[in-house]
Amino acid sequence: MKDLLTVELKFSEYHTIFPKIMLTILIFLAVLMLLLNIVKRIKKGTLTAFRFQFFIDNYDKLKFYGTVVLLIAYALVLERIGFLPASILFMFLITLLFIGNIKKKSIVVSLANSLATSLVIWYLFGQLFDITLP
Amino acid sequence: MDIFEILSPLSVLLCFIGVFIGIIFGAIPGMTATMAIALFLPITYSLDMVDAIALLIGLYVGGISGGLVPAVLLNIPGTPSSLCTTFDGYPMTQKGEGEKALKIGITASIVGGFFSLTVLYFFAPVLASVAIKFSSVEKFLIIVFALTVIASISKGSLLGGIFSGFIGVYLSLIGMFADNNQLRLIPPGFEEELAYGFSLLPVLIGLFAIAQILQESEEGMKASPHQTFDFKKEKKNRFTFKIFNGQIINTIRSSMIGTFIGMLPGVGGSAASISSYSQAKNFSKHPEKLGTGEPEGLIASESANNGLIGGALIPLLSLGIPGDSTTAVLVGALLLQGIQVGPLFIPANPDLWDGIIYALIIANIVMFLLMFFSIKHMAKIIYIPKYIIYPIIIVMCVVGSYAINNGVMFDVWTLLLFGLAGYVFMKIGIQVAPFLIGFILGKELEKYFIDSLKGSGGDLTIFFTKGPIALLLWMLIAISIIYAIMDNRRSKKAGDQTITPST
Amino acid sequence: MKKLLTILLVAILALGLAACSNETSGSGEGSEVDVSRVRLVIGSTSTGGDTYQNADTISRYLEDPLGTNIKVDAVGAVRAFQELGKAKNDGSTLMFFHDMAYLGVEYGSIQENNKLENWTIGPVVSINPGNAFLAKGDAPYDTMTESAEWLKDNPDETITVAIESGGVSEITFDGYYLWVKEKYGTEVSDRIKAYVTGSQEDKNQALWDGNADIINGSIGGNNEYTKEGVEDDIKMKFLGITAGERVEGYDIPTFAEQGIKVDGKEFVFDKEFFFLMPKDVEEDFASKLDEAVAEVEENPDYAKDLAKNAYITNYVPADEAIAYLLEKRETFQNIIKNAPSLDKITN
Repeated sequence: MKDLLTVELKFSEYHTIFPKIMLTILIFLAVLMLLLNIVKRIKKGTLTAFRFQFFIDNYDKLKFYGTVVLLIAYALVLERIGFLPASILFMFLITLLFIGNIKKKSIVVSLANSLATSLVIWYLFGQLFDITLP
Repeated sequence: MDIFEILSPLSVLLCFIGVFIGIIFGAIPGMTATMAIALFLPITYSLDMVDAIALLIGLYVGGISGGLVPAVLLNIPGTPSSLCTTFDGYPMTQKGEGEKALKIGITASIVGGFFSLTVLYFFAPVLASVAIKFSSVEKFLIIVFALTVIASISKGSLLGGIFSGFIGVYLSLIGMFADNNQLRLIPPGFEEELAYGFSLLPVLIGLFAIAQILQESEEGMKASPHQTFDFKKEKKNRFTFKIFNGQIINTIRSSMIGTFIGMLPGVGGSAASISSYSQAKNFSKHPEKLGTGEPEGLIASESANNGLIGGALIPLLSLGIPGDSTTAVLVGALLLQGIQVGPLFIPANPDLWDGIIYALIIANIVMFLLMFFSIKHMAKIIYIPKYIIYPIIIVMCVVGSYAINNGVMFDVWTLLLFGLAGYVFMKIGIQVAPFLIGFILGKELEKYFIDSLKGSGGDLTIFFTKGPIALLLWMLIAISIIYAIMDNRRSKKAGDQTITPST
Repeated sequence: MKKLLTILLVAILALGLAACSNETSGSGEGSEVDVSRVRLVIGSTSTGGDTYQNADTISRYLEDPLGTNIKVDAVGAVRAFQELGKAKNDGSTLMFFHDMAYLGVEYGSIQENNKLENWTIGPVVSINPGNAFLAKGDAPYDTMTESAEWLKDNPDETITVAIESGGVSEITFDGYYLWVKEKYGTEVSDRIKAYVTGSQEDKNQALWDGNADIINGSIGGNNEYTKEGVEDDIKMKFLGITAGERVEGYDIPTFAEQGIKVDGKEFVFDKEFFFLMPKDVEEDFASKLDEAVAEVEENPDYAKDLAKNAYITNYVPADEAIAYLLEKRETFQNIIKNAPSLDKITN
C-alpha cells in the first residue's frame, strides 16, 4: 500500500511525472467514453451506423478557404514586408472577401477599413505605446 | 490623512488616464492589464512615486475591467480572467440584452473592487500571514477545486467535458519544466519555439475569436439575428439596480472568492473567476439556467474578477510577495523608484500606502463612470457589420499575440493554430471552455503537485494528511463535483433540450 | 460610426499628451548610431528582477549619447538568444544578460549553440553583488561557515538548501557544497540536500514551509525580511554573499571572508551584466556602443541610480570583455565538473 501511494522522485525526471499521470487519465477516459458509446449504440441497435459530417450543408467554400488561406498568407508575409503593408493588404482582401462582391462600393469600404484600422493600430500601439510590432 | 494632501491633481489625472488606457487594453482581445503596466513601466521612472502608482493602479483596474466588453459583446474574452464572463454575457447579447449585460458586469465589478479594497485596507497584514500558511498542498487543492467547474459547465456529455479539460491540462504542459529545465512533449523540430510552451493569450483568443470567425465564414458571414435587434426593444427589459436585489449574497460571495484567491501568491487570477462561477452555479436555485444568459453568472465572474485586484495587493504590500503576474510587474515599478516592498512596507511608507488606497478608490469610481456612460456607444459594436469588425478583430488579435511576449512570431502561429483547432473542436465535440480552463490551470496544477511531493519525499498521502485546511478543501471539491453530477443529470432529464453550445 | 471615430480621436489626443513628456531627442554628438530604435532583449521574463533593472538603467542613459530609442523586452533566455540569432547586423536588436548566459550552457539549461563564442561580446556594465544565502531568523547559525560547523557537530541533522537550477543560484550552491566536502569530508557534505525550485517567491515560501533550511536569494529581494520588526515566522537573516567585496551599507560577510575556498582558491562570484550582439554586428555600431557605455559609466547619476537597488558599476570594455568572461567561465567549468549531480542530493 505504501508503495502504491509513493511516487518515485528523481530530479532529472521531475518533468515526466505529471505528464505521465495526465496521459494515463486521458487514456482511461477515452477508453471509458468509447465503451459507454458502444454500449449505448448496442442498446439502440445502431452499432455500425456512422454518420459524421464535418462541414455544414452548402458551406461557403470560397469564404471559408479564402479566410484560411488569407490568414496563413498574412502571417507568412508579416515579418517579411512589415506590419503596415501586410496589414493593409490583408485587411483589404479579407474585408472584400467577407462582403462577397467586387462592386465599387465594396472596394471603397474595404480600402477605408484597411487603411484606417492599420494606420490607427500602427500609430497608437507601434508609435505611441512603443509596442514591438512585426 | 486628507486625500488631496497625498494625491495631487496630477495623480488624479494620471489615474484617470490610466483607467482609460487600461480599459482599452483590457477591451482589445490580446492585450492585457499586465501588458499595459509593463509598457508604462519605463515612463513611471520620470514620475513622482505617488503619481506613478496612481497611473499603474489605474491601468490595473481599467485593464481587468475592460475585459468584459468583448467577452459580453463578441464572445471573446479580452483577458483570461474574463473567460467566465462569456458564459452568460454573450447569451445575453444574443437575446438583445448586451447593454444590460455590460451594466450588470460593471456594477458587479465596482462592488468587487470596493469589497477587496476594504479588505485590503483593514485586514492586509492579518490575511497575508494566513496566505503564507497555504503551502503547495493547499494550493494544489485550490486549483483542483477551480477545475471542478469543468464538470459543472460541461454541456451535454459530462465525460466529454472532463476529457476536454484534461486535454487542456496536457497541452499546457508542453515546454520546459522550470525546476530542472528539461523539455517535454515537444514535437521534434519545435524545440526552440515551444521551449516555453504555447502562450496562453494567443491560445485563448485563437479558440474564441479566430475559431468563431472561421465558423462564420463557413456559414457565409451572414448577419446574426441579434445584430438586427431594434434598439428600442431593450427598453422593455432595461438595466436597473434592482437586478441585484436577489443577488447580494452571490455578489459578496464572489467578491470574497476573488479577493481570497487573489491573495494566494502563485495562484493565477483566472482561478478566481473560474471558482467563483462554479460556486454561483452550485448555490444557484436554478443552476441549469446558468450559461444561457443569466445575470447571476455574469455577476459571479465579474465581481470575482475585480475582487482579485485588492486581493493580489494584500501579500504584495504586506509581505512583498506578488499575488499574481500583474502585481509582479508593479514590484518592478516600485523597485525602479528604489522602494523595496516587504513586510515593513506599510509602516515604513504610510503616505504611499494611503496613496495606493486612494488611487484604488478613484480608479474604481473612474472605471465605473467611464464605462457606465460610454456603454451605450460601446454596445453598438455589435451593429457594425461583420465584414468590417471581423478583419479589425483579426488584426488586433495578431498584434496582441505578437506583442504579448514582446515580439514573438510563433505566438501569431499559435493564434492561428488554435483558431483552426477551436474550429475543429466544435466539429468533433471537444468542448472549448473546459479545454481552456484545463489549459489555463494546468501548469499551476503540475507545479504544486510536484512541489508537494518534493516536500513529502514522493508520499501521496500528504494531500490528505497535511492539515485541516486541506481536508476542508477536499470537502469543497467533493461537494462541487456532486453538485455538478446532479445538475448534469437534472438537465439531461429535463428532456434533452437542444442546448447549443455557443462556442 | 461617427461617434466611434470621435472617441478614437479624443483617445489619440489624450495619449499623445501623455506620451509627449516621454519623447527623447538626440543630442547631436558624434557617437550617434544610424538605427532609430534598438530592441534590447533580456534573458529574463520578469520585469521585477535584477536583469530588467540593470538593462533599464543602462539603456536610459545610453539613449542620449547613441541618439536612439531603446526598448527593453523581457522575453526570457531561450527567446532572447533566438531573437539575437535572427537579428540584423545593424545593432537594431541586442541582448542584455548576466553570467547565466554561459553558466546555462555549461549546465545544459541553455542550448550549446548559444555559447559565448557564437556571439560578439559587448561591454560588461554592472554588477549585482547581492547574490546571497539566507536562513530563518532563529536558525542556529549566522554564517555559511557556521552552518557547516553546525552540521559537523550535529551528526543527525541535515541542511536543505533551496536553489534554482542551471545558473547563478546553482553555481554558488556548488561552491558551498564543494568547500564543505573538501574541508569536512563527505560525512558532513552528504547531509546537505538541495530543494530545487523556481522564482524567488518559491524559495522564500520553501523556507517558510520548512521545506528548506537555507535559501539562495539576494540583497535586493530579501533584505526587507531581515529587518528589525519583521514577525518571527517570516524573519530571515543573511548568512553570506558570494561577491568579492562587502556591499556598502550591509553588514553581511562575503564567502571569501568566511574562508570558503574551492581548490585552494577563495570562492568569489560576482554576478555581472553585459551586452551580447550578433556575431557579424557592424564594427561601427559596436564601437559606438562601447564608447557610449564608457561615457555612461563615468556619470555619477548612473552609479546613483544603480545604487538604489544595491547594484554597482563595473565597466569592462568590449575588447577585453570576451577574454574576461572566457576566463571566468573556465574557473567555474571546473566547479561544475566536480559539482554533485542534483539527482543525488534532492530527495
